[in-house]
Amino acid sequence: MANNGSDFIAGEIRSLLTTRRALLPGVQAKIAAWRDTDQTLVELAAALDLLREHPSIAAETAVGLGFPHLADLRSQIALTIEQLTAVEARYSRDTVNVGVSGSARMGKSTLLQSVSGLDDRHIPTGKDLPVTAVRSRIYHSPSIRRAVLKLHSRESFLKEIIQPYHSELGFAASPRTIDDFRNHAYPDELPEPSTDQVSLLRRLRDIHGALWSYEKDLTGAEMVVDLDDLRPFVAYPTHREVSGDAPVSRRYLAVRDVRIDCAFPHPGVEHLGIVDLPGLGEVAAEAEQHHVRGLQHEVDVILLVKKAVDASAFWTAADARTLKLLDRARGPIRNRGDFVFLVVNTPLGAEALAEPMRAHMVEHVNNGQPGKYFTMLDTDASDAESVRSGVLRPLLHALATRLPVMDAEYLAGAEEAAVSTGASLASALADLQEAVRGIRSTGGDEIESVLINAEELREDLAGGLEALVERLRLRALSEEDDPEYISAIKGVYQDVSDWIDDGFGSGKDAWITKAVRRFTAERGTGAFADDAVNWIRVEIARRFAALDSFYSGQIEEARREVGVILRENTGTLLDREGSELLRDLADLLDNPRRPCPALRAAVTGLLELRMEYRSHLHPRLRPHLDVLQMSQRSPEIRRDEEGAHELFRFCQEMAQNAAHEIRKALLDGEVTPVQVTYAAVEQFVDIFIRSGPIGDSKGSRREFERFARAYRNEIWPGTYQGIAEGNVRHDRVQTLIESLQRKIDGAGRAA
Amino acid sequence: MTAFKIGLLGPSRVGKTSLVTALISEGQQLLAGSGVAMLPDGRATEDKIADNWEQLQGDLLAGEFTPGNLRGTMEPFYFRLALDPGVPGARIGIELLDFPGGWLAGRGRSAHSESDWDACRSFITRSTALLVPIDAALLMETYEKQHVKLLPKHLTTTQVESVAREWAIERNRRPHEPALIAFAPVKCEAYFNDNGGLRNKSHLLRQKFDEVYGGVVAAVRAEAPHAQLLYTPVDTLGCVEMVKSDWVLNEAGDWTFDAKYRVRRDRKISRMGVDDLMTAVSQQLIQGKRTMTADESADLIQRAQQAQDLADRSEGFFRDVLMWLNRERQARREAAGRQDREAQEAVRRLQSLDTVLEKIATRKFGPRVQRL
Repeated sequence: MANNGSDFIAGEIRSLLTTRRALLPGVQAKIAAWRDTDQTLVELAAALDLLREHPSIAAETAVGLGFPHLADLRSQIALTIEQLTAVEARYSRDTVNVGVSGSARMGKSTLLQSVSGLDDRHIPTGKDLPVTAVRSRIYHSPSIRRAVLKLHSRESFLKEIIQPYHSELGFAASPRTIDDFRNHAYPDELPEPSTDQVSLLRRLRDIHGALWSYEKDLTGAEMVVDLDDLRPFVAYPTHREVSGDAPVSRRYLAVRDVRIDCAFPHPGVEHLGIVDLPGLGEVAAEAEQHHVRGLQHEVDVILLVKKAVDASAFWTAADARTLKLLDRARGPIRNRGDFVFLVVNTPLGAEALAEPMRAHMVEHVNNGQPGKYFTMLDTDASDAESVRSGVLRPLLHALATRLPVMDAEYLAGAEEAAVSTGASLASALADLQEAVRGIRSTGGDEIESVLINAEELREDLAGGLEALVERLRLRALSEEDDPEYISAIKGVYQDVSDWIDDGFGSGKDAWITKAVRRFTAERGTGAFADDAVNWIRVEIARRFAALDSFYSGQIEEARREVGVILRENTGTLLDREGSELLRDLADLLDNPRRPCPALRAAVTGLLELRMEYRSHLHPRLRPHLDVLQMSQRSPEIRRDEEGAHELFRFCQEMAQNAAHEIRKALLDGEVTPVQVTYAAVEQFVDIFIRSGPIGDSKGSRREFERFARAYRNEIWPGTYQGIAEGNVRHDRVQTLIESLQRKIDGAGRAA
Repeated sequence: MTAFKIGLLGPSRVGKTSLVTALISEGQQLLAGSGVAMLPDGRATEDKIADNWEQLQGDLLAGEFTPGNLRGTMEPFYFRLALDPGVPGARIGIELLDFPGGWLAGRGRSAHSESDWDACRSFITRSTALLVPIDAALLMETYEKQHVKLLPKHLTTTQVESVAREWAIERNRRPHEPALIAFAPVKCEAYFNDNGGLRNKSHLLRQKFDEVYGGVVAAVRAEAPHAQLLYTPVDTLGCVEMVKSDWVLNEAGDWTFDAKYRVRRDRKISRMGVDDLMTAVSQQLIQGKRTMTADESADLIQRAQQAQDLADRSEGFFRDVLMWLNRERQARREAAGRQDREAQEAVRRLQSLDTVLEKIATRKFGPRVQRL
């Protein structure tokens, strides 16, 4: 290879890698978009499940709410992501990677040694047994010379190495821990085993038996080793080691893969990497699947090495299967020959075998026309010069021209898959959107419903409250006295009368004795008489004030009756009684977001209603106590016991008359508790039900709407929670549909 | 002796006897010093008044007045009074019928009392003046609606209206005769402040009267448009005031009205409004006399004949007036014939009776009186 030519090729490859790197963010964005799309699809499916379960969704409607082929859609997305991920992997590489594949003993390792300049200490070769135990990736580096081992963790070891063996061998359970594995008793042989199973069991027993040697390496970490120390980590034990008495070490079992950096002894290989693909054709669990997955993500081109040896100097059926397997990794690359090159390894002295094998291969692989499908490269893998001229040069030349084509095809393939997936999703979404739209039209509008219910609530309350007002009106305007009020007044009057008759609480004799003592002490009757009548006057007023409890009871009863009507019509909003209920309601009506000032004023007005003897009645009845003023009657009283008797009688008669007059005024009063409560409740109803816009208030009707909107879930339990929940679920579905649609569109644009 | 008739129309225990006693007492005061005396005419009236007076004085002395203590009238009683100028044959008789209030209601009369009742009704319809005493306390102290409903029964307003209507119809048949009906609330001491009371509730009393007796007033006004209707609240004692009252359900299941009165410290009877009743009665007498008196004029004979015709035709008030005049004229003629000192004194006394009746009749009604 001329240096100029090598430089040109190296420059082309470098340019190619630069182009890849530029395209990489777009591909990654598209992967992210599709992953996001998949996530949204999952969320949407879950949201649809919830929506379908909502009681408001009829069974026939629920049928349309879903993705009948969700699994297929997700598989399509997964495939799209996988394809894009393959593109991403391809574009992420810093090198052009050449995979070296072939059955055992075809000279793969020999070819790798020739390309990399390494020897048996680094890349083991053998004449009889398979020797390469670990997949190696070898990169040209002019300055670094080392191996980086990626080690299994215990978990990954059990899952990726041991579990497939158990599965293939039909063992029931796979060990969960290393200790399980260590203690596992494997049989010497299986009853009626297949050929593969015999081999697999033997290998598993070898792995089991050698646990001591690699267990310490199962760290999941990376290990850097000198190339001279690499062999135990990548090579199977030799025949001699296996045949010996000493325990066989198998440290390679702890290694997932190895990256080797070293200087390739060839020009134009600055961005070249060689990947050893072991195991192909070997008896190992899931070997082929691993092989293809590795091919898809790690190599740009494959060399399938076929060695002319006595036993197989022709294109065998196994070779055909291998080629077919490799072709599966081609993916969207249209030209099979761009992805796989056939290397005819002709060791020195084997030319006679090579010629008919080559002819056989042309006949079977290229349908008798050299180069029709696959390019065949001739080399002696053990000869570095031969490898350079026979393999590297034509390979790199081909890559320089065909890799851009393959990249474009790879990307186009992924995009086609993305478009197809997007179309499938869009179609499914359209069907779903239609079904969801149907729900929307039959689900009703919550606000509209609340407003209608608010008006009905106002009407219901008006009905109940008007009936109460009418009852109170009939009582207030009744031809008959209110028996409870009469009874209350008479009760208090009786108390006052008893007190008077009982000598003002102290007994007549004691009163008179006290009077005489005071007459004597004060040398006159005036002071005692004044004190006595003043005290009697105050005491009578105080005792009549006992009616306050009746008045407050009557008013509280009116509040209770109002409260019952309010509570019966407002669901679970109000749960107490009387004043407490009204206070709760007043607080609720003071809602900062939806204030109801008129309704609240009505409620607080009823709460503030008072009828008290002292403040409301006593001022009007006070003149009846004027008889209890010595200055008004001024009897001239003697300072002796007879005078005291006379004064007592005077006080008693005046007190009786005052009490009588007060009782009469109360019973004959124009204002009774029933009238007070009637007027108050009527006023409450007028404001609560019928008030118009004034000041801060928009009027009763509007405030009922606010009230209903603020507390709809409590006033109509279940009704709006259901609608709200249903709407939330519906809205969630709708949002996700729209989001998914945007993401599908976005994923398409990203492509 | 001819007597002017005054009917008393009221339920039991309203205080009819006390009112008559008060009228006599007030009459005596008005006539004091005039040479004309107002006297019980006959032993029965004298005893009746004395009994009532004694009961009343006893209550006043005890310092506690209970209307129920005064015995109600059990059978018809005719109070016969005389205005006596001290001239033989010149007395003016005044007759008041006090009948058992219970008789007003048919169920209150027994079979044997029906004839007496007919006589009572006859007397009443021939009376030119009808006094309707009304229990003011019952009116004012009844405020519970269940008790208010009992008022017509206790005040016998339906029966009062019926008899008053009958009286008014008869009065209307005698349009030349005076007709007076005086509604006289009694026991009014607590409802006026003109006689020792603290508060003036007279407007309330009148309001209650209108509510309860409106029908009676309307009936009289309708049947006898020329009748004089007076509202004359009376303090029959003046020195008592109500302390308390109550409607009480007795063991028989009947409601009764109990009132407790106190006697004011001075215990002096101080009547109010009785003089107005006397004035109204006097006005009737004077009016009748004026109508019947023949002036010393050219048509003396003709007028005298007209008066005779009127008296013959009326067989009532004017007949009595005419007889009164004839007796007076007879007395004057006899005195003129004697020409002695006693005769001169007799003439002077006859003149004095005229004068004092004129004086009473022309006095103005007190402020309590209202024309209905």
